[in-house]
Amino acid sequence: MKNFNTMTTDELEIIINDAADGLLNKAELKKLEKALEAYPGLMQDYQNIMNLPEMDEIYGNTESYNNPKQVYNILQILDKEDEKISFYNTTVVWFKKYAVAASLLILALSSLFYVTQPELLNGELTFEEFYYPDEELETENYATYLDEWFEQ
Amino acid sequence: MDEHKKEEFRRNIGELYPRLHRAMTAYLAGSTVEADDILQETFLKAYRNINTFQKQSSLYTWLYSIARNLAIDEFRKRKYEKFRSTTPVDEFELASDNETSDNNREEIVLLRKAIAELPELLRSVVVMKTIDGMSYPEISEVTGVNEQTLKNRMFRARKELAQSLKQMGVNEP
Repeated sequence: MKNFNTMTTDELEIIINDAADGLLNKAELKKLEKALEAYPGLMQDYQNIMNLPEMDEIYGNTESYNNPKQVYNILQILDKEDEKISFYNTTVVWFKKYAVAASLLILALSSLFYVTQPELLNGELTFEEFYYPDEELETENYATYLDEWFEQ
Repeated sequence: MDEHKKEEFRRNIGELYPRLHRAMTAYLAGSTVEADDILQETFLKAYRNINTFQKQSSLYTWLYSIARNLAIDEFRKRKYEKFRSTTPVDEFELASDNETSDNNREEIVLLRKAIAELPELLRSVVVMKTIDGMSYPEISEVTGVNEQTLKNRMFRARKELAQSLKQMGVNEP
């Protein structure tokens, strides 16, 4: 059995707490009360604490908090979370897997395009000329007009 | 591996929910934070982080620590703690039932109010120990505080509760 008489007040507070938790037998309780006679303030705390009403049932029993609807809602939320994770994983994995292949394909297609259009490689056509071959520039029209006028 | 853990987690929700709901109702009493909201967030957060759950602690204490941290974040957001002591007694009323006598009902309401008015550090230990029935090692898992300190906090909480109840006239001759 512990010697309560040699304990500090901090240690006695913890023993009082043990007593309130029901961990001390009758003999230990008597010994504790004897030791507390030297500390009237602590003795008062001990008596007040031991007189506290039971607290374990003040919020009713656990079964009364059962709520199948709420549990169902939570499971639904978890399902949505799974869908989100699944979409994220699919897209990220797809991107990681095919990003290099896609880049190589784009490079190959653009190279092929240039190879099949030798004018572009020779630098003879400008961008506008390549895309709008039928449109004549106004300056060219004006130059032609001036040539014809001088010839007349 | 994760899928197995997730499946096991989903199967346990129905069993864990009522106990955690009861504990959070007691912990959040007198606040504007809803236990249902905290629980929903708790299960979602736990589900997202299920691979970090270590089997050394119980699933319940792990969930409890997530729920408590979420509640503390809410208290901080709402700058709530300093207004706590002004919570009216009506907030702690019991749902009507025929089994509880009027005297008991009044005592329970005052006891709920006294617990709700404790500072968070003490209130959380009282709820876990006396209402939820956790052991000190389990409370230590939730809070990360050693058992000696928890017992000291429990003593202080009991002392404050006894004083509050005396002021409210409970247990007076």
